[in-house]
Amino acid sequence: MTPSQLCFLAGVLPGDGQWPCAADLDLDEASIGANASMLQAWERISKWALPPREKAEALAEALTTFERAHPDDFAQGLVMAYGMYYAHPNVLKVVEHRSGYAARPPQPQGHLVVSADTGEHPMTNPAEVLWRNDGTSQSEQVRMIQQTDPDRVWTIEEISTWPMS
Amino acid sequence: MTPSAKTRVVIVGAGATGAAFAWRAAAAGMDVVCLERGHWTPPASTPSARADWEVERLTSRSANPNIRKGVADYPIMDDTSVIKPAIYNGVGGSTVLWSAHAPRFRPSDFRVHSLDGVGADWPFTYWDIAPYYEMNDDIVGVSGRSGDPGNPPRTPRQTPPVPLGGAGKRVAAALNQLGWHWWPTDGQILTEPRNGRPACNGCGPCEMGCFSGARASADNTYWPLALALGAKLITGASATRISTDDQGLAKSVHWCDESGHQHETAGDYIVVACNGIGTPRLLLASANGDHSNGLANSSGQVGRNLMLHPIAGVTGIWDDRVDGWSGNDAFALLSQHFYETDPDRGFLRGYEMQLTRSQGPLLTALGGFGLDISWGASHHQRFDTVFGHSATLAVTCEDLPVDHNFISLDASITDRFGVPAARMHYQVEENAERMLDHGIAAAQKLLNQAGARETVTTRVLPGAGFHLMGTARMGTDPRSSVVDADCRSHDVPNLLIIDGSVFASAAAVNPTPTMQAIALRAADQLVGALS
Repeated sequence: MTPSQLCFLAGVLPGDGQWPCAADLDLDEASIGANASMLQAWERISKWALPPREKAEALAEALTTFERAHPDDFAQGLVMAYGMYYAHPNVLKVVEHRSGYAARPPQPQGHLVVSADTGEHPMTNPAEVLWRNDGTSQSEQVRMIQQTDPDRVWTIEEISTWPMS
Repeated sequence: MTPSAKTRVVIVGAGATGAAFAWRAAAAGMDVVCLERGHWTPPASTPSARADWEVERLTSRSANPNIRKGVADYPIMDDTSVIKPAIYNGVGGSTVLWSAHAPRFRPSDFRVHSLDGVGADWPFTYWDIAPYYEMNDDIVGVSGRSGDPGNPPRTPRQTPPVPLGGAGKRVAAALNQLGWHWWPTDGQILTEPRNGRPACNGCGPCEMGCFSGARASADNTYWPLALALGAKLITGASATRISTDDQGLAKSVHWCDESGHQHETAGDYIVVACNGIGTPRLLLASANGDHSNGLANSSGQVGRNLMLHPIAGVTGIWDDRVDGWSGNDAFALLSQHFYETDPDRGFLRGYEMQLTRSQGPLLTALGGFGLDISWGASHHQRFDTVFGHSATLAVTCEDLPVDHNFISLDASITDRFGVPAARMHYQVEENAERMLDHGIAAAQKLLNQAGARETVTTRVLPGAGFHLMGTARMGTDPRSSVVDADCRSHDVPNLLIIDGSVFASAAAVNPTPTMQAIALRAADQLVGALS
């Protein structure tokens, strides 16, 4: 990591309370699946002349200037910086602590939620057919049955009698 | 002629429709060969088990082929389109990188011209295709709940619906308070084990591939069945053109393997299933002396009538946690309260609102779904208030066919086999703009009713070019359509087109179940015609 890249990290992710500063994490470009355009932008950022991280206001001002002048590189640089940061185990522990989001990849354990339990929120107007009559005889017939018997369990055999052509 | 092993069907494209057609045709005894420019995508290769999974989602697993730049991807020029393409080239096609939201078209969607005087009617009705929706559901496995008054009846779903989740429960309660329709969403995601596939464990990012196989894709549903019936699948086979004989019939598919070697596979029937961009590209690139305007294009309609779905994203942010990162990310429930035409709203046709969940830390930090999270000193404060506190309503608007939306060839760039790039021309049409206004206001009202303290809106999601329809549409009149009701070309009777290209209208729902049902029906119609 070059000094300019470290300044970039310190400027975009300076840290806050529990959140560490990105420049203090020994982040590694090779740890993420960056594509060529990201790496090329990151390389160009390494040549930017940025104030030292200790001068936070000047650094933020300089980065704002670079963002205006080189929006594409800046955007790609953000993906690089955030990508490394939010994949870092120390940061994921903070995320977990503050949000409940498990500090691990989504798989293989998943993030299972409780069952659907739609009974808690019964649907609106369950007996009122809301779809529009398309002007066919089938439409008339099916709407009438569905209206009078909304809980009817339909079979594939019944549905297979519907085709008109 | 009875279909037999002597009736050779050559399918181009092994995605949602090519796979369904291959299974059905192979089951009828046909000699099926499928050419697929990509390869198998092993579930274990899905990055969701790696620490940098969200970066991979933006790079190697991006749905945009111009970003992904995979070996099988071809160039799609998209600077003339406000919505960018989202497709995948490989066995399973774009179902490898999809959310598996599986609503159906409604009966009125097939008769938009008769009912509302816009677009074009389909040459068949909902009732003709309903049995094929059911057949498809049984193969892929659908979670959901039957009984939705917003749609015609369907059989009991294969597994119960996906969980509503924290935001889903709040939005459902708000919908009840407003008196607006809602229903748990049908999805091609198993919530219980079925046919050797496991139940979903709610990991979240379905669109980068399913690690477990709980989410259906054509490679883990139709293809194992089709291959067991003897269908042949050739991967790494990039079709370059379809040739015709002196009778004007389709003769063979010319293709290149990855080494650039040229091959030709002949068939009695050629079936094109390359999606709403790839299909017109191949047909237009197949122009020859007898078909100077492109194959199957005497109507001039190949590539025209491109319909996507303009989708607004309206995100609600709650003070307390809704844990939007748990559960499949793209759907929990849908409301079709504003689906059918009501002239008082100022537009024709309608839209649906689909509650999606939220994203992982990186995409949240980058401001996904319009979240305003700046870099610098305030970054983490804002991150803390939105991560796990948000969910998004996707307002999916019906698109109408208009002259300025189409696919063309762009010979300034070719793929590595010399086939011109596709060029995507797309601007949101006027009716949809008015629909977006209405839908965004409705979504904001709903989220406020659900207790969100803040909403943020992205008027048109720029990456939502995944529903590609209309570019070789079906109809009864050869002067205004490309294929007939059986998906057979008006011009070239042994050429079939079976993907979203054939849609005569776009509806306001995800198209994949309808595409697969059409492909199954087309296979049966072909078998029937040969019997």
